[in-house]
Amino acid sequence: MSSAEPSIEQPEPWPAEWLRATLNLSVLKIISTGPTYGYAIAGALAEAGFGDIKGGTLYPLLGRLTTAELISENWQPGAGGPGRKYYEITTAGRQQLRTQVGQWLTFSSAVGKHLSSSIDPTE
Amino acid sequence: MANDTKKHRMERELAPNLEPEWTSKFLLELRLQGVSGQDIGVTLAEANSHCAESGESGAEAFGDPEEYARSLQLTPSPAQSSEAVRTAVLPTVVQLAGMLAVQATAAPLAKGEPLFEVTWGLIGSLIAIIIAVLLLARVAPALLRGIVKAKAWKSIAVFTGCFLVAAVAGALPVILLKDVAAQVPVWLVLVGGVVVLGGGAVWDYRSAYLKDMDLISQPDSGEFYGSATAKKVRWASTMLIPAFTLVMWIVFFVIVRAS
Repeated sequence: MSSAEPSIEQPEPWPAEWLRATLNLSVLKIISTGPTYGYAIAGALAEAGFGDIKGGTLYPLLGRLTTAELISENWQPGAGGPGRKYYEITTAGRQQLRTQVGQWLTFSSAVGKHLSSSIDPTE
Repeated sequence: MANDTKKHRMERELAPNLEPEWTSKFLLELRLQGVSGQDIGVTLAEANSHCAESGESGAEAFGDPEEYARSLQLTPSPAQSSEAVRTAVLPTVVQLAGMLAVQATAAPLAKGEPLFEVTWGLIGSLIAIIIAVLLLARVAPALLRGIVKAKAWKSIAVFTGCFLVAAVAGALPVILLKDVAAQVPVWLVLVGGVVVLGGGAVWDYRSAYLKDMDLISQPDSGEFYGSATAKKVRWASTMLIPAFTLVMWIVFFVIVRAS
């Protein structure tokens, strides 16, 4: 994947609700770099520091993105092995990604500022 | 376990990288949801492909097969809706009516009687049987889920119960109401019955429900699992009631002649 950053150290799995809030957008981001398939998306997520995202979480999410027409799917038979379902971002998906990435950056910087300012240095 | 291999042949062929037990539960849940064979095939192939690459088992990657099947929220196929199932049994209802008419001519023809007596009981039984079949088609999806998930003895008890109720409802009027409503030439009943029976069989053969049978797709080969068998099943299913009628008619005729 395009991320040049080294894997982020992760002492324990991220809280499930954090993942729920961010996975949609992050998966959309991965697919926006070109057609790709489930196992490769899981690999890219792990590399980006999300930890081990199981198929049981990933595929229902890909299904919801497909139903919402943010991505499209297409089966490619494999040469000598099992084939793969490739996902590709749609115009609507690209649009959503652009808007929500901007929103997310504003939101996360607000959260970051809030959380770090509330640490009492005297404690 | 040779028996186990045979039992899960389809699961092994469709998804060689998943545990057959896991696949079996996954397929059953999707079928019960009414997902099309096409969608089931692609979804299963994707899960298999994932495990082939990750080296995980189905349970490790996706957890419980039934919960996973539900979490995918696949759209039920219109061909599997209760409306479609109801439409699919209509040809069978027509065939059953034809069968009863043909069957009823065996005794008078064997005895050489030219007229057939239509009793009120016969009319009542006909109506009762049609209502029973339509009712069964209406509750079929819910009943199927209950039967599949229940213990074997419970399903057998439910089936036997339903069959007995239907049999009694169908037989009682014929036995109790002997008053003659009309007299019809036997040959007319026979010809009419054969036409209705044949028409029902042709309708059944041409119905969409039997035509594609909603088999599970195999996206890698572009084929459907068991399509060769399905063709035979389609024929066998169409011929079932006409063949049964013919055999029963001959048996009846011979018995009445002999006595």
